[in-house]
Amino acid sequence: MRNWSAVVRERMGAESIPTQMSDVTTELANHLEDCFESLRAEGVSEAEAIARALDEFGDSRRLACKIRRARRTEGWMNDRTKQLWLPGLASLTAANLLLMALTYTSLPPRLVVERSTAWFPGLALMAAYLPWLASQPLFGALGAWLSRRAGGGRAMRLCSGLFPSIVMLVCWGLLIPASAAVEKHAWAMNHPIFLALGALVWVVPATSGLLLGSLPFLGYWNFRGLDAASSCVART
Amino acid sequence: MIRRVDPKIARGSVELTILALLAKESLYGFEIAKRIEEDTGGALSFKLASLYPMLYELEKRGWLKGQWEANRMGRDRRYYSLTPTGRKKLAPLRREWRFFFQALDRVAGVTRA
Repeated sequence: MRNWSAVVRERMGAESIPTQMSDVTTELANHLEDCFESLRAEGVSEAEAIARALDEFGDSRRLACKIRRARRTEGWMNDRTKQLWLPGLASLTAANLLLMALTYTSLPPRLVVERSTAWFPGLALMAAYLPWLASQPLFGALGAWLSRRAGGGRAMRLCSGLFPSIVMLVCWGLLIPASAAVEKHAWAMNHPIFLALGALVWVVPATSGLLLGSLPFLGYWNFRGLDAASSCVART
Repeated sequence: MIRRVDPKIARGSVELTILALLAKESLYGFEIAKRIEEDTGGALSFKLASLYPMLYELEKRGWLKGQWEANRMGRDRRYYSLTPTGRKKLAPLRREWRFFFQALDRVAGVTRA
């Protein structure tokens, strides 16, 4: 009886199929064995049956390469890290570095709204860094582009693009109120409306800017086939 | 003489062919190849070199699941079956191919040739 596993190893090169893929060798050997036996049952001569079974391999080096690629699992970095966390963090870092730079260069904050009404007693200041806000589309584009480059789907690209705002929302919606509660910050506790206003100023306009920058990378429009190319990258 | 579909054309259909076959029953590699050849009257034929990389690829995507079981002759073979994800992918894939044929027919008149 022919040792088909040895034939597979010989044809594909022992090093082509790693030991953790030994089941592949067994499976291919089984296929050759079945093929050979089927041909023999049809009355094909042994030599001819062996030749035709081996012909199934085609270019064995190419086959080994295709199998390795198909069986390759995610590397040290999984897809979610590549498609969401890294692009999102890149976008967040860039946005915050610019904010820091603007603060250090002492560009004055612009007053967007200053109003005192019955609903907002006292001074309601909604200040935002206009240059920072104006740069948000760039950071949205950066996050969404990096995610698309890593093969991220539309949801991943959107989340990566909006990542700085998501973090900001968590800060204003969770961390700052929690911190005020833990530290028993009387002013913040007594004026929740100011927290809401802060969140509004820091989250909503920035989100719009980020969304604007992300849009070209969400795949709603095909820019010279870029989207098709990236989905090919994701599939291989 | 058996007329075979040009391998360059056939290659694109291997995904749909495998999923459609496995939607009916679990099969192992050689059976899949043989069944495709029988069911298409020999027009489509996938050799080991094109079949297994695609099986592994579909398995990696989570559309198929391979499991070692004994076949009718008591030999261990790796049987492939569709996962719920694979089953969900089959209908859109069929629609995509139908759409492709309709489009091709409009431009190249393939059904009238």
